[in-house]
Amino acid sequence: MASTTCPHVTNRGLEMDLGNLMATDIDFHLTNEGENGHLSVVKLPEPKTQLPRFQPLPQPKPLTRWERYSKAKGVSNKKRSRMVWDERGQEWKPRWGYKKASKRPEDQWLVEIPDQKDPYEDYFEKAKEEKRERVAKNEYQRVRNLMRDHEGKIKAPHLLTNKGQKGGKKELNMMTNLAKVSTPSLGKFSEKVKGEPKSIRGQKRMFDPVLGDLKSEREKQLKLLETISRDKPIVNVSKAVNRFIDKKQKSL
Amino acid sequence: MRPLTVEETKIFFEKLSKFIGDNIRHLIDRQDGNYSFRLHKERVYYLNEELLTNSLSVSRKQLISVGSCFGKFTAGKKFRLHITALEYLSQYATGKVWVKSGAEQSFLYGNNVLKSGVGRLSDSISQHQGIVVFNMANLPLGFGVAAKSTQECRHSDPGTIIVLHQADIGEYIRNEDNLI
Repeated sequence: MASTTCPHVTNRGLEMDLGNLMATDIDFHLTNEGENGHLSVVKLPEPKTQLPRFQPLPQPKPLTRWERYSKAKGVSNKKRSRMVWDERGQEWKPRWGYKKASKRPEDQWLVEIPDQKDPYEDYFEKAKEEKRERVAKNEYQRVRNLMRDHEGKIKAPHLLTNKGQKGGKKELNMMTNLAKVSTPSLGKFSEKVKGEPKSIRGQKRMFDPVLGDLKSEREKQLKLLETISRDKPIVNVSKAVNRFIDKKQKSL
Repeated sequence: MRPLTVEETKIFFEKLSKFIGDNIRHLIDRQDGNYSFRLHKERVYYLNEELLTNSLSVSRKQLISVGSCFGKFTAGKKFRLHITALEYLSQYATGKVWVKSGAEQSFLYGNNVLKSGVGRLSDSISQHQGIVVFNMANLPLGFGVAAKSTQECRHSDPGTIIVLHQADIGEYIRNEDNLI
């Protein structure tokens, strides 16, 4: 680049304005798009440096069972509106979520029991149970579809659901504490880790009985009084000073 | 209901001693009966032995109050005196302030006592001492904390606060829910 033919190259050969380079280098040609006032507009060529990919290109995901079916059947993808007209309340309510318009038995506050049905059965509990069954069935089918679609590639099938797992940190702490105590001597000789409290259980407090020996109680309290008054000086300095000042002023 | 622990008794006595000083021994040791302090739902009650034995037959959940409530322990384990302790505080008070009839109303509404409202002061009150406020007919009205010592009070302007209000008998009407 540091060409001796180019008159604008400095001694160090590096300080060269791109514009000057383009303008003065004979071998360098760019299509002149025209003049814009006193400026000459030039189109720069496309960049040729190829940046390497960090990760390989993502493979197209296999279609799920539903996607395959809907494609084959030709099911249209109609978006459902968030709000639904609730006839009873005469207002627009969300289709799902907070304050939803729901006619499901598990959301009702009243269940009418027809004559034929058993009056002693808990219909609210039954509705809850049925919902739980539906949710469980749905989860089962979802996981089964995933297993079928990615056969052989799933390394941790128990992680496909989050049903069996509890709050990670909470459960971990619980299990750690249990493990500490699960020794033949109930954790008395287990290794002490620096920074950990000796026992997760708080100290059990012991109180005196409500109606114990009142005389001894009084004695203890009087003793306590003594210790409190011991901390205070016998001579109340401020009081003495005030008295002195008082006397002085009265004598004046 | 349970007796106070050593720490609780200490905090309680220290608070009391600000008002009645060494006279706490008259509360503990009495000729006319065995009186004691008991803690129930963070409140300290003063009751005699007979009342104590009778109150044992009431279950803890159903017991609302026994004897005289002196005050309660706050969440931060500090002790707060209630107006219901006034009977005993006024008997044994070390610092007393008598308030003029004009300022009496003001104090009963929860305001501080100003120099202009002070009729009489007991001698040698130190700053931050507990004060029991009386009206000119020697009726205890409430209690508070001395903002100024007697000496300072004598040389201060009529508008300065002498007693910082803590409790007054008007609370029996204003604040009856919290007093039990």
